[in-house]
Amino acid sequence: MKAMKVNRRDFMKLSGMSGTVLALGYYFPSIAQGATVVNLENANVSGTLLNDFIYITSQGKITLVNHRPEMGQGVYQSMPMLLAEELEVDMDQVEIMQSEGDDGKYGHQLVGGSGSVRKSWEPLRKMGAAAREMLIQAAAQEWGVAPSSCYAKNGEVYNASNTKSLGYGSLVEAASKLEAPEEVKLKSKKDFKVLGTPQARQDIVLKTNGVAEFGLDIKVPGMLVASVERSPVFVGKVKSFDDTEALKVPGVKSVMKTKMPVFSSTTEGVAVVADTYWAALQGRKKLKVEWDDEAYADVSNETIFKKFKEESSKDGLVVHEQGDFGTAYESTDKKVEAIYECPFQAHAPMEPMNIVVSVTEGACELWGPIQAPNWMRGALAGALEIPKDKVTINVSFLGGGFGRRAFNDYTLEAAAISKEVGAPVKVIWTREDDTRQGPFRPASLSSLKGGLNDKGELLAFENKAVHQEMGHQWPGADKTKADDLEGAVNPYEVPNVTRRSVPQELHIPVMWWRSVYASTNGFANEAFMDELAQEADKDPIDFRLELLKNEPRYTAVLNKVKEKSGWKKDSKKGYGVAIVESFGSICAQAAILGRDSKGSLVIEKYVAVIDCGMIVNPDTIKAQIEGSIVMGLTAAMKSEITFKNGRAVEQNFDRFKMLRIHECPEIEVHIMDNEEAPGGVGEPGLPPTAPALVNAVFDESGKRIRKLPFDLNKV
Amino acid sequence: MATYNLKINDKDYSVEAEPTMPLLWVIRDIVGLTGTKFGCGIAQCGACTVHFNGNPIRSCSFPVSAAANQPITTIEGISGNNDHPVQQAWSEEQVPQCGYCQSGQIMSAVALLDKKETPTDEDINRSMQGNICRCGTYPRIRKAIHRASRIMNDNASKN
Repeated sequence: MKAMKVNRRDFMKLSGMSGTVLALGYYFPSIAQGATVVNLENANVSGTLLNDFIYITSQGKITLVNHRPEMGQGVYQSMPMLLAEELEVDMDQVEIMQSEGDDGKYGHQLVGGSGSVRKSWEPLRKMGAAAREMLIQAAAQEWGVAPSSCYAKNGEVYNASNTKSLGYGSLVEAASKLEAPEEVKLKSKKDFKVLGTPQARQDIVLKTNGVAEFGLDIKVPGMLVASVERSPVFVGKVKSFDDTEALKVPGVKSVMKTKMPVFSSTTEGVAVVADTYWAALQGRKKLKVEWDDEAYADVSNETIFKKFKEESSKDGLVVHEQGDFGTAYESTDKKVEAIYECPFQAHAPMEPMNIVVSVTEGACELWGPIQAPNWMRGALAGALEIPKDKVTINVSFLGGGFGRRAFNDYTLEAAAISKEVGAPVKVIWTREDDTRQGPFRPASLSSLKGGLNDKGELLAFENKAVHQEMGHQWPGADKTKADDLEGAVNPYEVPNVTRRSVPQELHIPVMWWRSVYASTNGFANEAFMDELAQEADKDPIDFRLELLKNEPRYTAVLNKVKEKSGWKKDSKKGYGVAIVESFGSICAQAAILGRDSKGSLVIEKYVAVIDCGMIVNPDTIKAQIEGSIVMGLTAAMKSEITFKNGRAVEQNFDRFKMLRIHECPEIEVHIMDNEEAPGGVGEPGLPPTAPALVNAVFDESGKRIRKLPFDLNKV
Repeated sequence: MATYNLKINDKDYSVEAEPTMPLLWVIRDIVGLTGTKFGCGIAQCGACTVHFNGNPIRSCSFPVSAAANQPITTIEGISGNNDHPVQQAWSEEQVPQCGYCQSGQIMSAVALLDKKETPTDEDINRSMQGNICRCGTYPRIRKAIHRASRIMNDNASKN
């Protein structure tokens, strides 16, 4: 058993607790390696940090730790629910605490790739079970009975042979003297009391009264604020700058050149550092910067998509192959070909990019909304050439992430500014900076070919995606491997399939955007499946079901969406369907369109079905699917980032348009009930949205939409 | 620089600021109330919504010089104990996801319900379309406004 000490900051966090604390640590990959007693009434408390997921005080107060950044996807509640289930406590009995970024203590902390529940499902349940077993053992010892004749329920251990019980608080001191069990028994789904139930999220109240602290709200002592004028063409260089007027603005402290590492490039800029944001922004407006940025002046949306189209005749890299597409396609009776185009997209989280970094001699501390605490810590340690354990990462609530806040560019830029000014610096991006600096969801041109026989059976299928490969942007990247795997391969049983990627290189930085390549691959695949169904003269759902007859989970999801949408029952409406697997889950959506009194097409309803295996919080899942559909519709109908003279045209919500409440349809979500391994939930709801929509447009109007975004009112 | 007397959530503040400094940044950085958020700076997103004389305004585009001496309410001031019917409804419907836009959403919803106790979906569309939510909580916002309306009507009939 280790004696662990508490440092000042964590002591303050724990200060609501007193007495003996049972603290259970987690050392990846094994479960708890020992309980730790910390007596907080002992005044001589100092030193290293507690590394725990579960705190129980001798008064019975239970605090559970959420170790992953909360960006709206609900981990703040769902991670503790995983602990609570096996610990046998009710969520009402529990307080939740956000951890700092420290992979040594908390293991994997990234939020991205819809992986939190999938990755934490087993480890956190084991953590909760271990604590439960120790508490049971402590009670059994006290009663002089075998642990097998005791059970835990609602924060108490009961003696099965009589009515005696002991609360966890009274057991914690004894439990802390025991060895944590090496093997634990996890509950089966039928015994779940917490998992699978719609729990109210504890962070939600804080988000209705202005209390929740986001990155933009953080203040640290001695903090200065910076606003940075960055190269609009990403890789442009600062030729010269005149800061005379900027320095005259009251509150402005200094002006300096900045560098922001973006994959293999550097985005240069000029930072104005002041004691308030407003002063920094006014100072920045008075900067005169001369850019060396002519290098990409001829790059525009027209040139980009023209090049993509030319490139689509190349063979590209093979992502997946089965049978012999070329030969089979030539021999089919009915050939269908189509090109689909998706634009660049910005993430546009409601909270613009921001971060607070304090670089001191041999150490660095960061506060703010980040998705990748572990990666961030390593990157800062590397850039500042200090040991990782001298980098402290404090994670606030995130005002949206969607992949953007997993990147290191903005934090490294801020660290460099802080180092130069010798004070903590908060860098705040304007909405214009946020929208046009990227990195972006890559634009994509997909060339689809399908061959059917005269019975309408699909024999040959080719999807060739022409776009930038995110992984190819890193220095020394292996450009012989395709990276765009999400949503690339269909589950359909087609004997001859080829899925290819023709990687493009542009100066425009690209990265993960909610559902990543599944957002563009899924659109092309499922819009094309509809065109094939049309050629085969079959109903779109029936056409897909035939090709999924050996895939029971897909079949179940598709049948459910057919039933719940009232598929094609109303002859006055347009119905469209799409089914995409991504991030370990299967999601199908049906879009139902009608015409309003003025004759304009309106989206009346979306019906979504998700199979994500065993679930944590069904209400959170529904919310994530609802939100994904809104984001998918925005990308389908409203928003795009276009390029002219090598730079992004759209800078704010006036031109980078978001879906608003009056354009949002009714959304109905159904969650499949099974005992499959948990799949992701944050992203799988987005890929089916656009294809379901364009397929419904075709059903209603006979018009095929192959380029996004499109104006629904013009159909 | 000039001095302005601001009345925020029934408290008086005397602030020194440039006349053109937006009320948003005065509230956040000088007065220190950070519940009101910065989203776009051009009155397109609604995250900065506060009440000025009971009416919703976009504080990012409202100069402090125009804000003096009139009552301003921010998210922190709509209830003492999270018990405004809109906050209650927001919690019951589990509206927020990331939560960043929600102060503005709630302020716009409160202003709507102050003027019309039983809004229609059309009323909601009109009053709420200035508030963007990137997380896509619109269906729940709509349900919560109807729910808040029912709570308010119940409260009114009890009194």
